[in-house]
This record gives sequence, structure tokens and C-alpha cells, in this order.
Amino acid sequence: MSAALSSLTQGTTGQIVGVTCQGELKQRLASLGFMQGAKVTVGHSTIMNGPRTYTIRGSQVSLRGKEAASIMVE
Amino acid sequence: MEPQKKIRVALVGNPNTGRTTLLNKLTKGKQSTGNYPRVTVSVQSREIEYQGMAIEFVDLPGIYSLSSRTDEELLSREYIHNQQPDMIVNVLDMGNLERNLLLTSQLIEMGVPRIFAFNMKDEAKAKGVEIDVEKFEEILGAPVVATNARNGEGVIELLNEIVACARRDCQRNPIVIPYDDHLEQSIERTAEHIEMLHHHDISSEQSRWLAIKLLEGDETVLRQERDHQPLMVAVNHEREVLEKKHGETADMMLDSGRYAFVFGLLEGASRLDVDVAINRIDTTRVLDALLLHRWLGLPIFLLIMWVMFETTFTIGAYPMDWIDAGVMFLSATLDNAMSPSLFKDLLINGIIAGVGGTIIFLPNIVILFFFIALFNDTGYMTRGAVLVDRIMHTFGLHGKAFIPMVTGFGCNVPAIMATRTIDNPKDRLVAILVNPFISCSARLPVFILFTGAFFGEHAGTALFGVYMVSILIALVTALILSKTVIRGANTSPFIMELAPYRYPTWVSMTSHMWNNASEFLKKVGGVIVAGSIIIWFLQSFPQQVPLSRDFDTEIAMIQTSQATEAEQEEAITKLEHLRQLETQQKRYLGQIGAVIQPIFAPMNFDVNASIALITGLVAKEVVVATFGVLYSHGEEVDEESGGLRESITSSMSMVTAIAFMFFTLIYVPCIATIGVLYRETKSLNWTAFSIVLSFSLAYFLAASVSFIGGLITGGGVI
Ligand SMILES: Nc1nc2c(ncn2[C@@H]2O[C@H](COP(=O)(O)OP(=O)(O)O)[C@@H](O)[C@H]2O)c(=O)[nH]1
Ligand SMILES: [Mg+2]
Repeated sequence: MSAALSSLTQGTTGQIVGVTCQGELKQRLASLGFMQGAKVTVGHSTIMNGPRTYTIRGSQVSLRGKEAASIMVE
Repeated sequence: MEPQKKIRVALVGNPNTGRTTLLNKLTKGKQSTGNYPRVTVSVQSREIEYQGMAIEFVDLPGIYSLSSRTDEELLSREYIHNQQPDMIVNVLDMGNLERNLLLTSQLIEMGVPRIFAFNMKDEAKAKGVEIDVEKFEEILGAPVVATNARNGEGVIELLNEIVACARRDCQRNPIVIPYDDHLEQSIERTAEHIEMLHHHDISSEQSRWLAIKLLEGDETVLRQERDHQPLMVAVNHEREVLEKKHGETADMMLDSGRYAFVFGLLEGASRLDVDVAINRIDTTRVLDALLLHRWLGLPIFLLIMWVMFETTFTIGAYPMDWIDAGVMFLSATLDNAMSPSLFKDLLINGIIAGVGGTIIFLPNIVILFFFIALFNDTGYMTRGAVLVDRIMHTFGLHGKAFIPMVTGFGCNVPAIMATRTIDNPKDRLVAILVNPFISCSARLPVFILFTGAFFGEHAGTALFGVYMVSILIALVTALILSKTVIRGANTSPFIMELAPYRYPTWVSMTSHMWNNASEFLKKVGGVIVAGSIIIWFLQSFPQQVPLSRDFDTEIAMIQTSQATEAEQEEAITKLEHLRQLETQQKRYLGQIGAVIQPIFAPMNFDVNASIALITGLVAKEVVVATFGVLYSHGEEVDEESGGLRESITSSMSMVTAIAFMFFTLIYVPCIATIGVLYRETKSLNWTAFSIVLSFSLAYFLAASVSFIGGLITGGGVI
């Protein structure tokens, strides 16, 4: 069962099963490690649904909800 | 001695891996380093001589991959490809190899001669990362040196490896990264096709690289090869088939393959000491728990900003007084030592008044830059961008525009250049156009002078207020721009790496502060001196002006009259005052002022304030210098009215002063900013737009302040 990364709560970890966005964005996410098979942990979130931070392949990366919604995890 | 040979070495790596720090250590020089991703936008290089070999180091921008998407990636790849450095040093963060090695795998495919610097050795050790250097060397096919760029550990070894590699002509150890079977077959077919086109006059490594890039859909390489129709058709076919078969695009399959290679590599050559890893206290995590806290993050951020401005004002006040006393002493000494002459007047009332009036703000500027450097180097700047992205986004700005904004508190010129980190051109344009509204340190003297004069002990808070207004104006302007003239902005994603918090280095901090202090001093020595002389000249010439009355005779008459001494003195002072006023009005500056002052009539700016604003077009520091020169001539300079502050408070009301601050804050940025605005937008229209926009907005807001303030203080409303 997979869910969007944006729907995960703080502190949970998931494994990426797919990235649904296309083209340049997908490529950029991949270069930071957001790819099928990678483990990702949800870090901090900011008020009013601002960007959240994620731990991915040993580094901390911040994404907006919109981008995180295209990353499917389980 | 063997003949001198010069080699060029490019430093390549992810952002924040310590390339610039390493370059500093390798070349023992100073250069600004920053702890936020992509601080190096332009390419910088430095040359040294080592063991009889001239080595030029080039600091390429930090990149995550070579897929030619962002400016930085394009720049780095083109540099490696077209400029053909003799060698690249791939700098990696040893504590974060997994992500860093993706770029490495792409560099390996490119086949350039290379050496690996596993930097941040200390951090890796603290994390419990242990590596087997020999295994890495074997699999990566090139020397690996573990370094600590901060304290210089491993730097000599790295230099030795570079020289050794250059001497034995750096054989290229071809390492092939294996991919999925179907992908491999596609690569092979495409590579063969390419070899045929090149009549087999191409290395197998290069044809493989080209094939991979074509399958990846790399725009640059595709453009380069588009004339070869059959090849293009074949490549498109391969990509379609691959995607259909695997439900995944070829570029993703390639990246998967690379990550698989990285995994295998790490599995075989590195180890995590679990004891160390578990027992360590992760400072970054602890700090972020507070600084990125959902509810506390933003208030803390505002508090930190407030502290920054408060400190700029209060701590800055001490050295400011010393400099002020020094200037006064110099002025008084010269006054006693020199006999009256035009030159003495120029020196004391022109140059010293103007330069002295400006240079006392050096401490404030240094303190402000200290904070900006501190935010950069510790890594707090990127957290700030995360915290404010939501707000910025509401106003049509990208969260990344926050970094240029804070940089703009220092100077708008580098700030506008820093917008290059924003990928979407429209987002970037908005960020550029609003940046001049961010109050730079050149405007700081004006605000310190005015808030100090009018707000007494609350001056620090008032200063914070000025900056908040400045940000608000920038935000609202951004919102309006993105809803009107620049539609389609504000769509690009927010993807930002947050580097771990690090102690700022002494070298980086001091060089940052020193660079900016010396920039300011250069300005004082150049444009401020020139401006002061010009203002002094315009104010002192023509020396003799025809006056409407014969003041001398009138004064003589009073002196011989029957009135009491006190009455006489009062009448004479009044006449002297009138004479001074009329003389000033008839001199060049008075004539110019009479022409321009009506423009500022709605804001109640007097002639002096109007002139100061006009001179501020060159550089905003000149505004204060102008006041300095103007009031040093002033008619009321006696013992009680020492200092510019008193002259200012006695010449305008609080409301006018606020209107003046608004005007100074917003109106047309200095010439340097206009220059860089043109350079970065490459558009005369947008440059002109920015000038017109800022001038009309300044006029409108200052006039509004004046009007509303007049209503309130005039008792009209309350
Ligand atoms: N602990 C540690 N910090 C380092 C090392 N090398 C660089 N740094 C710090 O890492 C940050 C980023 O360095 P910088 O040279 O700007 O990285 P660049 O973006 O790759 O040019 C700075 O705060 C440096 O002081 C190292 O070997 N160990
Ligand atoms: Mg750098």
C-alpha cells in the first residue's frame, strides 16, 4: 500500500516506490536521492503547510508539499 | 630542473563539500566561502607553484549531477568538456558518500583524469564512518585522499597526488558502470552507431558516454548531434522501447544503475561503526529541533533578525563615538593650526565634514556584514529560507529569494547576482526587481542618523522597523508584479538541501567582513570625497554674490544706534542670519536647490534634504556626506549644536523625517545596482522599469506619510 510522502507524519520513515512527476523535476529529485528504493524520513514541518524537511540518503532536504505529493512511499 | 609545466585542476563536487575551503588551503589564500548550497556561482581560480610545477585550481560551482539542467550543472559540464582541465579533483563529503558518489559515478563515465578528495574526514569520523581507501581506489580507478579542509590535514598528500598524477600523465583508468541488461544493449547499439559516424576515430569510453547522454535525453548533447538524423531516430526508438518495457524512463534507469553501483561500492569499501553512530549527539538535529520548530521557528527567526539590527545599532555606537571624536579632534586641530583660506574651508567644511560624516558608520556596516557572514557560514541562512518560504510564496516570491534578500541588507549588487540560484527565469526576474527595495548598508548611515536623531533610546527598534518596512515593500511589490507584469512566475519548485550546522571559520568570516569594509572605505575615498568636494564647491561659489540689501552698512548703523547692547546683538544676529540665507540661496547650490525643491514640496523636504536626495543617486552614502557638508556651513554652528543629529532635528519635523526615510529607502538604487540590474536582466526595459517604479513608489509613499502624518500631528484626525 503506497501513500504520498506529503501525507506522512513527522518522524515516520518510508521507502520510495515511485516518483510521479516528470522531466526536469524528476531528474532533480533523483539527483538528490529521491528515487525508487530509497528510504526517506520526515523531519520538520513549518506552519501553514509550508515546506517540510526530509532525511534522504544521509542529507537533509526541504521540499514543498506539492513536490512531496509526487513522491510515493510505503 | 625539468621544464616548467602548467596544469589546470578543476575542483568538482556537491554543494557544501568544502571545495572553496580546500582551495583556500591548497593555495593558502583567502576567498569567501559560504555554508549554503551554491554560494559559488561564478568560476574562480587561483594559481600556485608546487614542486616546480605551476598548478591552476578552478573552483567550479557545486552540483548534484551532470545532467545539464541548472546553470551550475551546465557551466561545470561545459567547463570540463570544452576547457578540458588536465585533471579534476572530485571533492566529496566523506560523511555523506551515498549521495555524493552519484556525481562521482557520472564523472567516471565522462572519463576525465581524476583524483578523489574525501573531505570532512573529521565529521565522517564523528559519525562513525570508516572507509577502506585502497578498495575505493581500486573500484574508482583513481587515487583517493582523505582530507580535512578546515585544518589542512591531507592537503599536502593531495598536492603530491596531483603532481604525481600529472608527471605520469594520469593514465585514464577506464571504469565501466554496469547497467541493467536491456539498457546495456541499448547503450551498446547507440555507441556503435556513434563510432560509425565518427569513423571509429573516437575512444570507446567517449562513445559510451555520448550514448548514455543521448539515451538520458541530455538536451545539450541532443542539440549537438541533431544533424545526424538516423542516430536521432535510433535513439528515440531505443528510449521508447525501454520505457515501454520497464515502465520507467531511460534517465531514471540510468540513475538507478548509478545508485546501484554506489551501493555496491559502499557495501564493499565502507563500514559504519554502530557504537559511534548511536552514541553521538547530533548537534544539527538538536539545533534544528528548536530552530525549525513548527511554532517557535519563525518567532526565533524574527528575534534573531531583531538582535542583528539592535546590535548593529548599540554595539556600533561605541566605535562610532570614537571615530566621531577623532574626526572632531582633527577638525579642531586643523582649524587652530591653519590660517583662514579657501583651501582650509575646503578641507574642513568640505572633505572632512563629508568623509567624517560617512566614515563613522564603518562599525555599523562591519557588524551587519558580520551577521550576514555568520548566517551564511553556520548554515542558518538556508533554514531561514525554509521558514519564510510559505510567506514568500504567498507574495509571489520563491523561498530561495530569501537569501538574496538578506544579502541585500549588505549590498544589493551581490544580492542581485545571488538570485542566479533561482532556476525559473520569471521567479528570478521578480526577485531581481524587488531587491533594490531591500535596504542595503549604504542606506544604513541615513537610517542610523535619522532614527538616532528622532527616536532616542528606541533607535535600535526603529531601525528594525525600517528593515521590516523595507521587506514589506519588497514583498508587496513582488505580489503585484507576479500578478500583473510578470505572470507565470512563482511556479518553480522549492528544493533545498540543508547542510549541517558548522562552526564558521575565522578566515571565511574575517575575509567576508574585510572585503566589505574595504569596499566601503574605497567608496569613501572615491565617490564620497569627490561628492563632498563638489557639494562644497557648489555651496561656496560664486564667492561674492550680489545681495538685495547692504548688510554691512545696516549692521554698522545698528552698532552706532542708541539701543541696549542686548537689543543690538539680537538685531545683528538676525541680520547675519538673513545675509547667510540669501548668500546660500544665490550660490550655485542654492540655485539648483530652488529648482528641485518644489519637486519635493509635497513631502516638506527643505532645500538641503532635496539636494541630499539628488546626490544620493550616485551612492546612498553620499546622502549623509551631503548633510555633513551642508550643515558644516550652517549658520547655527555654535557650541551647543555640535553634531549632525542636532542640525537634523532642528531642520525638520518627525513626520518629515519619516517621509525622508521612506524616500531614501525606496527611491532609485545607486548607479552600481542599476548597472548590475541591467547586466543580470540583460534588458534595458526592465532596468528602466525598475528605475521608474522605485522613483514613483518612493514619491507616492513619502508623500502619503507626509500627508497622513500631517493630519495626525496637525490635530485634523485625532
Ligand atoms: N568539519 C569540517 N568542515 C569543513 C571541512 N571542509 C569545509 N568545511 C566547512 O564546510 C562549509 C562549506 O565549505 P565550502 O568550502 O564553502 O564548501 P563549497 O560549497 O563546496 O565551496 C564551511 O563552513 C567550511 O568551513 C572539513 O574538512 N571538515
Ligand atoms: Mg564554494
